[in-house]
Amino acid sequence: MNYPDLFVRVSGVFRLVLDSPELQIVGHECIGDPAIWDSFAHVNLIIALESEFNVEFTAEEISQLHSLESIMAALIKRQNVSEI
Amino acid sequence: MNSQVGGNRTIKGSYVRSLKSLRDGLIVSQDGLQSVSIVLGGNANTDFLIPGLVSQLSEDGIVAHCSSTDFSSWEMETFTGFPDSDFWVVWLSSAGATTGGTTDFVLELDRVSEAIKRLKARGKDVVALLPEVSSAEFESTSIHCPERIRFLAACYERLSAEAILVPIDPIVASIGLDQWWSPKYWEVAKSPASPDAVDLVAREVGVIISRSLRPRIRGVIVDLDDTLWGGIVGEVGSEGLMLDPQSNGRPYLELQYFLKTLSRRGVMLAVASKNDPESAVRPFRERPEMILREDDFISIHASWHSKSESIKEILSQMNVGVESVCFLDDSAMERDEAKTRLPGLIVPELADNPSERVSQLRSSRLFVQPKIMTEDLLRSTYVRDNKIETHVGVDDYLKSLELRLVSKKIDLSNVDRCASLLQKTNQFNLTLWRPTKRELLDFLASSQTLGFCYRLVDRIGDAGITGVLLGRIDGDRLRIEAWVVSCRVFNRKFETAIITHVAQWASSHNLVTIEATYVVGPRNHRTKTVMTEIGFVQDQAGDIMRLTVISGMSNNHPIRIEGE
Repeated sequence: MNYPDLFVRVSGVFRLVLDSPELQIVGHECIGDPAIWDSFAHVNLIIALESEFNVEFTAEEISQLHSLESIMAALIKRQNVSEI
Repeated sequence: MNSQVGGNRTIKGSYVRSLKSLRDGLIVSQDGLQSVSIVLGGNANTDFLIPGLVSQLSEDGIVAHCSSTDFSSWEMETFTGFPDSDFWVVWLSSAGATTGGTTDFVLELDRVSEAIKRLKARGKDVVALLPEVSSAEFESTSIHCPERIRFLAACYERLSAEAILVPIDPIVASIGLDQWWSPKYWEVAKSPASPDAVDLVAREVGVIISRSLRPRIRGVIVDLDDTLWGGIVGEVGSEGLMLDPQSNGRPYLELQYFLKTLSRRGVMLAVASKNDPESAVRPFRERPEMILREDDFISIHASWHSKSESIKEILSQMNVGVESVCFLDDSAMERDEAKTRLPGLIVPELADNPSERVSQLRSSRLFVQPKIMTEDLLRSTYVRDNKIETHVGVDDYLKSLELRLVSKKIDLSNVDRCASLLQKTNQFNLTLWRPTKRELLDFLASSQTLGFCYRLVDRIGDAGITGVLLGRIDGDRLRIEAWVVSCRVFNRKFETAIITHVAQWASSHNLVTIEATYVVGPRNHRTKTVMTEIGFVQDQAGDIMRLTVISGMSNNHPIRIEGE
């Protein structure tokens, strides 16, 4: 899997959780931007990402992964997406 | 230490699957589908219940609209919050009561009980999720366990009349504590369990709400050979049947015990068997291992007619609609015949292997019965005993019953049953007005309206609330706005006794006439006939029937009137 593929999959999870099939994901999103990415959506996002990529985030990570960039970085670090 | 505690059913990914089904648009809000408004609250975050709850109800054809109270403010909201809601789901989690396992268990039952009573007083149905087992309880010196168990016992004692109580421990046991408790999701979102485990709870609550909105199963009609016992009685005789609880008779006895338990909850049982009548009853009399006895059944139909014909006859004895009755038969052919010829009849599959049948029936969730109404418990006995007594002459029979009509004003203790009777009754229904519980409460809010419900009690037992009358005072007249009588108590002069009671009430309030407008419907002609017998006189235009309170009353009934 390469970075663009990962980005597509992460974007899919975002659209699903935020219930916005048409949402354009540009890569600079963070909590509050878009506004529907609120604190509850954030936890749903983490749950869905854990399920999609079969990874576990710690409580500490969850509270730090506030932007799409940080989420991408955390996923890249995980072993099961290291073939990028 | 707790990784092996409980079961190991895998639930990974179930929350996300529910979330997806919600997003994929499987949940379609359509006109004509039943919809229900649910409020979620408790001592923890209940938002994670929503995807599973909405998905489960959608699978059952119900559109659910869910809202959550602000975190931990559910008690305050019970005063006036969410006026349009139908159900409240209140999660009394151990995680919340111990602040995530860091304090003693603190949940004030007095306040919980008061809050639930407030909701009931506002006409809401309440589902309360009881505190779950926590890992701390597996330490022998833990103080959590006894406190929680005391709380659970107190919940059943004090809340079970007001709320549908859902024990969570069986769910935890089925997946194990490791899959249940998630410190991480408590920390970041105050979720009382892992989201996948919460999804399981949500599905359970969905089933409970769905079953309480659907007709309950009121009767089970069951086959005999190879269903209630192993073997064919007509071939091997009663002594040759498999009924040994220690060996191959066990699965059949397990099904009998399952049915016996349903019967204790008020579900009527009957037999539809292709057999000679004499052979069919012999095992009940000759085999002491039998758990079900002849008197557990309202009728035992043994003949060579088709199953659907027998079922039709039993349905008329049970006096319930086909959609509230379940038919159990080991033969796929017989199940198919019944299902095809009696659309609406509930016909669950029965495994070829008898050992699998009870767990199959349990997991079908058909018999989940969130609320047991006293009327249901009494009905079974009543139908059975009425059958026994019908050989007596009518007049003697009525006298021997020592009938009593017990009247009560409609209030919150009986409004569920009254609304249900008003909605379902067809044969004796004066105006065909079928108010919902909410409309009924609105109607009764006026000082010019009255509503009575009536129980018919006799020396055998109590038929429960079987009559409802709603009236409106208009000058010196009392206008009957709705009047229904259950067909279960026809031919007892119960209708006459109700009018006698209403006339007494009217007279004591200086009213002179009782007026009723009979609305013609497809099945309610009986109403007009009975009213004429009572003494109502049709006016010249033909649409209003009147009864003069004092002189026109017929007291020709054998029923003693009691109550309010």
